[in-house]
Amino acid sequence: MFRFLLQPSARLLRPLVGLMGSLMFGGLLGVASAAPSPAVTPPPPAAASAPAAVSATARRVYEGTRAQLLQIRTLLKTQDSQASVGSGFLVSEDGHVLTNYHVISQFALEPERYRLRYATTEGQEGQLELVDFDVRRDLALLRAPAGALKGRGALSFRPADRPLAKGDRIYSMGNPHDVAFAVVEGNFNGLVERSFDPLIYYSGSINSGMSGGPVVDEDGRVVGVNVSAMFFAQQMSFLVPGEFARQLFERSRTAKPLSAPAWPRLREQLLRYQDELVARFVAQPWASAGHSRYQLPVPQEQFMRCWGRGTPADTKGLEFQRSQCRMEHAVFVSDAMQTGYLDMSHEAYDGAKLGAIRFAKQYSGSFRNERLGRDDKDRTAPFCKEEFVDRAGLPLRAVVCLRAYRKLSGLHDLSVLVTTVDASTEGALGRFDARGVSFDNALKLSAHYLEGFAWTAKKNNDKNSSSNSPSASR
Amino acid sequence: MIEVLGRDGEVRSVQRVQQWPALIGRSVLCDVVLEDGHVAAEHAQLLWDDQGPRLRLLPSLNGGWLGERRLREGEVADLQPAAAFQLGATHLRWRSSEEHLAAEQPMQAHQQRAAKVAAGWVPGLLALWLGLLWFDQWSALNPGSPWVDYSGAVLGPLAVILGWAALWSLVTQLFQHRFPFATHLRRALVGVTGLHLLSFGLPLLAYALSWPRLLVVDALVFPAGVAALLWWHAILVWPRGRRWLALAITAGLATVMVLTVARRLEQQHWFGPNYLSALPPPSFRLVEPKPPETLIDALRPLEAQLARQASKDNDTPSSEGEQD
Repeated sequence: MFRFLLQPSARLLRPLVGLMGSLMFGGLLGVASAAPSPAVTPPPPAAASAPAAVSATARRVYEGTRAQLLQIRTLLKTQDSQASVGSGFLVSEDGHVLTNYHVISQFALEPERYRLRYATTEGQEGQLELVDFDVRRDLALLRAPAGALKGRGALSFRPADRPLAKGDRIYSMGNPHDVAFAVVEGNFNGLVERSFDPLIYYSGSINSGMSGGPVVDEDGRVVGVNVSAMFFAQQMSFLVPGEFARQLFERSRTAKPLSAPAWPRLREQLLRYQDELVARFVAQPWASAGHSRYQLPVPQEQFMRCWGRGTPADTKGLEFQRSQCRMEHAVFVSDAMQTGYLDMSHEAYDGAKLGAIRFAKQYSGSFRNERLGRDDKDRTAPFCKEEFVDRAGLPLRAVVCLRAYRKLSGLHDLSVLVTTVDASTEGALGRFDARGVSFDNALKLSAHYLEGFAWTAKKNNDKNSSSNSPSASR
Repeated sequence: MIEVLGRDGEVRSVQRVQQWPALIGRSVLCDVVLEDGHVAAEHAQLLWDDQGPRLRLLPSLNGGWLGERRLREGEVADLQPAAAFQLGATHLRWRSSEEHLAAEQPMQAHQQRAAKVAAGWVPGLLALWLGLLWFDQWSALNPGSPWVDYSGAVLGPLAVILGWAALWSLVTQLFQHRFPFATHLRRALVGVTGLHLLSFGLPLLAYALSWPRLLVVDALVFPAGVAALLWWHAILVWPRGRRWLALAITAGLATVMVLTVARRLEQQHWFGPNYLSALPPPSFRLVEPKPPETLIDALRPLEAQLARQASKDNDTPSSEGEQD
């Protein structure tokens, strides 16, 4: 619907939305393709961004951590070329290694095609197994064969009762772009606001290939794990809080390695995640959109961020105001699939300058413009139902479409399109998208979204008598 | 009688055989004179004896054929009733006075004066169609748009339809030796105006009754209408081929339909869009809106349908980021 309206707000949003992807798409894959010609890759940012005055600390921290620092490489089973590279760190004397799930996702989903290897800072290499992962937090626990990494020590976590303060200096480590191991100095800047899951905002340059590397305080204790960066921004990077990494390690340190494709465990984790997401979302009442005629669903900005815009005041034709809200953090499943987020938008149209026929044409055109996706490797084609719906006297046309995930059975993508159909030169068009939700939750969300539409309280009184009259607008 | 045939098989001239035996050739002394440089002065001879009419080939450079059979010099061949033969490059047909005469044929529509009356519809139809195009463009433009904004939307299709009718007329000229431009134009106009009105009216009806699957009719009628229009044009060109034209075009239509369905096997519907997007003014809505629970309950059967679809394999690469 909103194709012609979308650009400006999307530009603000997209980098963060793709934040999990940014490190992976730009990073891991980019490295793989750039590997044969390392001269092309940019120089490691550590040298550029670390001020000289404090480099003594950075050096001390790196010296204390280098033994536990690893590069994690995903290789094709049958040849030695690397499919992707990331970083990781040792957390036990038994060879347990923590990294990002997205660093090892190819291996997790297709263990018959790929293998995992580590490389230490001295160049020692060896095989790795996948023990467990937490796809929601983008973390994975790996293990080297018994004795392989013995005597290298383990990184410990900064205790939860000693939280960092804004401005505290922390050090991110990893192997950016497969160039060399690097330490990057930066600042802890608290948690990202309006994020569903806690994410540390780190002012420092993280680059592709550093994904999964540890971020430590001045005492060398882990405070977070490199996960993503915002593209087209300066020194805006994001870390998974160390607490989640510690929990994954504690939970699964004695688990047996995974040998089959990880889809069943992914499904189980995503189902649990979406239950929590939907329950928390549905529990929030709708905020006001501030429209004079309609109540339109706008979320509380607890874990969604909203942007709005409208037509210039001197527009000759259709006037509209647009609002878009979305979760900026998605769950990475594979290079081709991110899921587990909500996205909603609406446009309120005023066609007083157009007249009924022209308004109908442009309103229909906007409604037709909606894209619902098509059948592909991961998801089915959309299956829809539509009906005229009465919301407390306000007539709506509603379309609900669902696509099912092929390899994550029970998960669906939901799209709800709603238009008001009470007036001949005025209307509102809303769209709600939820990725990776169960069928029951999709119904729950659809019903919840529809509840967000109604007359405004003022209109309700004088509207009841003439709610169907076509020309009763304004 | 000897009929001299033209290139398209029509009779160019008829020469009566006055005496037996009759000489055929280029010479003025012949009984049947042929204007053909590939024929000898005296090329062949027609005989009539106890065995009936016969043809004898005289010495010549190019010789002759009876039907598909090559005739040798000096050879004598029987002439069956209406036998076709060739001397040099000239096609001839033997016709005897004893043959049964075919009945008088009725005239075709275009040969009658009524055809001229039908052509009188063309300006009216053209005005209607151009009016529809103008209305489409008018409703898509903002108020106060200059008139020149309408030119492309109206004149473009007009040029296309005139070219279309002219092209069909040229083809008709090739086979029928006439140029029925007005007839082709009328048929094309009836077709496009009908389809236009249908695609305009069906969504309104579907909206009024909240019956979105009515758009299937639109999706089916459009290719069928185009096929019917093609057939309607084509029977002007090959009036005697109505049957096989209908067969060929139906086969083509069936192929298109099968391909469409094959491409959409994984979709919810084989024909038509995912949802009805027409939003005409509220007065068009005839049905009462339902409570939201009705829609939510109607969704439940989708769970099993989607699960069935999800279990199928599909190799189309994912197109992440196609949302919006």
